[in-house]
Amino acid sequence: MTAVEQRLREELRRVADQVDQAALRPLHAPARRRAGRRWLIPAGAVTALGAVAAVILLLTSLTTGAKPAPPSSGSVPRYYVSASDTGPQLYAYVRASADGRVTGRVLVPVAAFNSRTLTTWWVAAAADDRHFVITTSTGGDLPGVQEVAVFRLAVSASGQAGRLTKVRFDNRGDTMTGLALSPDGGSLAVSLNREFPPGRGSSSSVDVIDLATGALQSFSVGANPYSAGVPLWGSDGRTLMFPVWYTTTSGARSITSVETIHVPASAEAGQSFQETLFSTPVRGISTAILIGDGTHLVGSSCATGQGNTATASILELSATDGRMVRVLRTQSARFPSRDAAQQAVAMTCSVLSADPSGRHLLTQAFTFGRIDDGAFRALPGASADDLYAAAAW
Amino acid sequence: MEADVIRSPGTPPDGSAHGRGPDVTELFRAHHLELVRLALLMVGDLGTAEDVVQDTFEQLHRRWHTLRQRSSGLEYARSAVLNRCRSVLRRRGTARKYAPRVAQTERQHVDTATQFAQRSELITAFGELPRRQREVLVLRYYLDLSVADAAGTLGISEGAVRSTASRGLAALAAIMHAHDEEGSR
Repeated sequence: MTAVEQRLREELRRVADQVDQAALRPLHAPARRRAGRRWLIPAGAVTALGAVAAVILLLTSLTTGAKPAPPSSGSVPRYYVSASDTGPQLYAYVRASADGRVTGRVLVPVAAFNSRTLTTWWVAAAADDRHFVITTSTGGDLPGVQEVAVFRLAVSASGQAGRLTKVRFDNRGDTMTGLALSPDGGSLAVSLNREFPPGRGSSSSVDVIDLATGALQSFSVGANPYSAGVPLWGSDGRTLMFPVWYTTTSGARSITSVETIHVPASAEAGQSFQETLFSTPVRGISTAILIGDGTHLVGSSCATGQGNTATASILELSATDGRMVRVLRTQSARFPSRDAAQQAVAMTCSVLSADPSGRHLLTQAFTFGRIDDGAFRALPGASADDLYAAAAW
Repeated sequence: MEADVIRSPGTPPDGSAHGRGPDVTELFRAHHLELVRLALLMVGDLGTAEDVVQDTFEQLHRRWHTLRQRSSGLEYARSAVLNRCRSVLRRRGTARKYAPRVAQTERQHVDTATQFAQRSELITAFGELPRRQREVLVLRYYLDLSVADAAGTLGISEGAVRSTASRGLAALAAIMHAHDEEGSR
């Protein structure tokens, strides 16, 4: 052992040994809100698409007498913002909810596509229907490393788009898996998944950014194979809920629980978690968001069928036990080829946004449009050719 | 940007095999002091080190049932504590970057990395090493872990442990040498 090694050993021990047990605060076990299942059930070797088809049936069979999300006084938001690319350029469009008419447009200063990178985008809305956030996520040379840019957009009462304001945010290379703007538009919650370097597993966190000051709070959610889904702010602006996804080694995903974080006023104030474990993981769902007060989830489930057909379903689920409440919409479509059907299932099967009441949804399955209390109406904003639809109200 | 992640040895399972091992509360009670000391060497101040262990305990408490090999619980706990330390250090860095007023306060915390005890030249130099090198050196020279065990805790290869430790020791020697030269002027 060299002299440096010996000295290092002695010095580290000297520093550490100044802490003794008597001086330590006692550990406190977290309180559980409810008892849950003990073990996760493996997905086995079922393929993802096969599982989707099977789970639609399974979900149907699990339907209980649970009631749909209670109606609230939410009226249809006046505007929604969608983002889509025109060649290499990405635009955010403000559209009237009634008919999808464009009332404003602004260029998002991020290359939507070039030969080296692929950009995806998300939109989130505040409860006032006037403040929005558009984020872009661009992959670089390293797999699993994403560069996220965040922009604020204010919309006038007449639907005109204001200037985009870039928000300082360092996603540390993590992949974004969801975002939500607080009811007052002052804070942005971003779900992130750390996937780099490949092969080392991943970890998940939810970051909360104060849009006025740039102050950041980061909440560790879990490690591979668990990750945080799209967050939902409570009406108090201090509570965050999100579904927790479980991904098997074969890539099949299920929702195992809904987690709640009480966001402290400051980083020093401490934090608390609550978790509602599902007795049976919800499988076969490709996207899901919590709606209303967080007691319900809305998920999308799509599968290819015979020939070149595919079926898309939008489902409402209980967020307390994961059981299906009702089917909000089902659409079957025939595509030019099997590949096109598979691409539609993989890329255009999403629940995009819900208004604060949870009664009004923006979805793409396979057609983009709104669902009001279960009634669907197609809207412009994302065509079947759009690989990445993003819209919010 | 530091983007690496410690992979926990008790990777959450497919739900089948469950080894026998200590309860998480039992584990943390038995190793509370060791884990706080480990965190202290990484983050520097006792208050934060205790928070790190408390937070890690809470998170493991929620996830414990998903561990495949509970017999490796201590190794898992060490990994989780080191992961949490990284988050704390990263958050300090982020706070410094985005909130200058906060940065001054946080900077003081960071500096206490070596102020908890009387600062020696060696500990000062240790605090200047990259985080990964500090992790490896703490595992090897404070916890006296073997190369294999350190590699398992950090989720890296044994070769990476050896090379990182070697670079860390060389850097320590170089920093101390530079300090000596400054002191002699």
